[in-house]
Amino acid sequence: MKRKITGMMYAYFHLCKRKLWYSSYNIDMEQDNENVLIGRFIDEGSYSRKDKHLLVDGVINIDYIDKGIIHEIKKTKKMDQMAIAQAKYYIYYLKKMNIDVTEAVIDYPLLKEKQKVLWSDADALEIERNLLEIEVILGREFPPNDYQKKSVCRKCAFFDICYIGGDL
Amino acid sequence: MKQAYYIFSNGILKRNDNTLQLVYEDGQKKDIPIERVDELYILGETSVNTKLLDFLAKNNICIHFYNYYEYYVGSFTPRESLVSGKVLICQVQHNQDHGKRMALAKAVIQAASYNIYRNIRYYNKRGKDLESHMARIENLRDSINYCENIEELMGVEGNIRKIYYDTWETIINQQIDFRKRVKHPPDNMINSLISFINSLVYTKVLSEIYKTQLNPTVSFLHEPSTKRFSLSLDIAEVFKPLIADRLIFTLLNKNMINEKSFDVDQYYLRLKPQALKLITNELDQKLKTTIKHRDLGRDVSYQYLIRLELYKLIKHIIGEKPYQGFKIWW
Ligand code: SF4
Repeated sequence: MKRKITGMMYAYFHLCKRKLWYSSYNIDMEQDNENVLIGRFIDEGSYSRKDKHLLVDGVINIDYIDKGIIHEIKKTKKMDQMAIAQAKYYIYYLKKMNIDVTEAVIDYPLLKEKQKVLWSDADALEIERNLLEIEVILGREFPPNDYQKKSVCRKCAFFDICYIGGDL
Repeated sequence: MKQAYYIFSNGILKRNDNTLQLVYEDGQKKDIPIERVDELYILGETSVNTKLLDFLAKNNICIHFYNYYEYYVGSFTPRESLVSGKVLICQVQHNQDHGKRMALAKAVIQAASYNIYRNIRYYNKRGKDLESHMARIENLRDSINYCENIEELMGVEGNIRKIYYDTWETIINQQIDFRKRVKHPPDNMINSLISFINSLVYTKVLSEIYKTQLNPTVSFLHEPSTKRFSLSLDIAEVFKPLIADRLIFTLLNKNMINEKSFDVDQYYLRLKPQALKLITNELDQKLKTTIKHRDLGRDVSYQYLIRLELYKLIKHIIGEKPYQGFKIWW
């Protein structure tokens, strides 16, 4: 059975493959991690006038769409590569549904910045390759051991479950 | 910081907009901000209603009830908020497969008995002669590996515990004889103290289980039971020596609890409200004690050690890393 790859899973694939595996089996952490709370705060506080959270197909969860442009809200630029990849996945997904979107914008309300993401046909190939790899990871019996540098892990909500019982 | 709240006085606990409100019998009110509550303990005669329970469930808060005789009655737990089919299936498999179940049950007893041993060693170093008890426990610990079924394992556990309780007379240096059997009331003081504090540890574990994907009814050492959250019992075994027993030793050796802390009520013994407050206070202090964790490289509280134990269990049952029960390492 082919499973649906959500936008969050696609983003996690770019962040850390362990995180992808754990979260896809719903083994996620309690939501009291400070970073998670800040994220939710931004989410609830900004752009309140726009139509929010477009859940498409139960698979991708777009922050909002304005004049045919996908908007993603992020707190910092630390993971901007991931944000770009995620936005492209949204465009890809909508295109598959015959909704022709070709542009996304990543908003950083705390930094008062915006970043444009443009679509090219090469992106589709890249995404399809990633989706295949995601399938492989999810098919594994237990979480993969290729992971981030420990410095990145330190800020991750999964740190405790990853590192308890000794290093990975 | 979230914390446990204990309610001793009689009254009504209710939802008042988005806070908890305690209304005492004399009409006085006390607000408890919901964000600060980790879990609730009802030790007085307190009325609650469904509106309150709904509010607690939404905020993922467990509420534990004790009756007039400080006997643990049960808990209201939020409908499960963290559920993982994968974890549940693996957990059940580890209960159903004899070999898998034994491996986990043994790991629990290994850890629990090691922690018991450490308690005795501590007092032995401080001039109480407990060498022979230590040696006998070491022998029994060696036999854990040879147990072929749960009954045998429970037998070894029972023997270890018998030797352990024999040392209490030496460890506890209160004047009063805590072991004497009192006919009226039928139970003795140390037993009511042990069962009250053990039930607190059990509920603490239960509250932590609810913060993970583990199912509290599927256990490995204890029989899964419809009456009790038996996984809580399993994990509590590991932590009782560190949390409950050491607390009991301190309370008695510092004379914080003594004969005067109890009321005799008909045929029962009850801890006086003052004693209850003192015990729950001391317990929370203990749970807040921090220790530098070797795997995580940062300070964690005793309470959080329980959560980490559950993470280790998850890693074991999904096949990632074999579970090693928590052993006091400092
Ligand atoms: S702690 Fe590190 S390895 Fe674990 S999920 Fe997070 S980033 Fe990945």
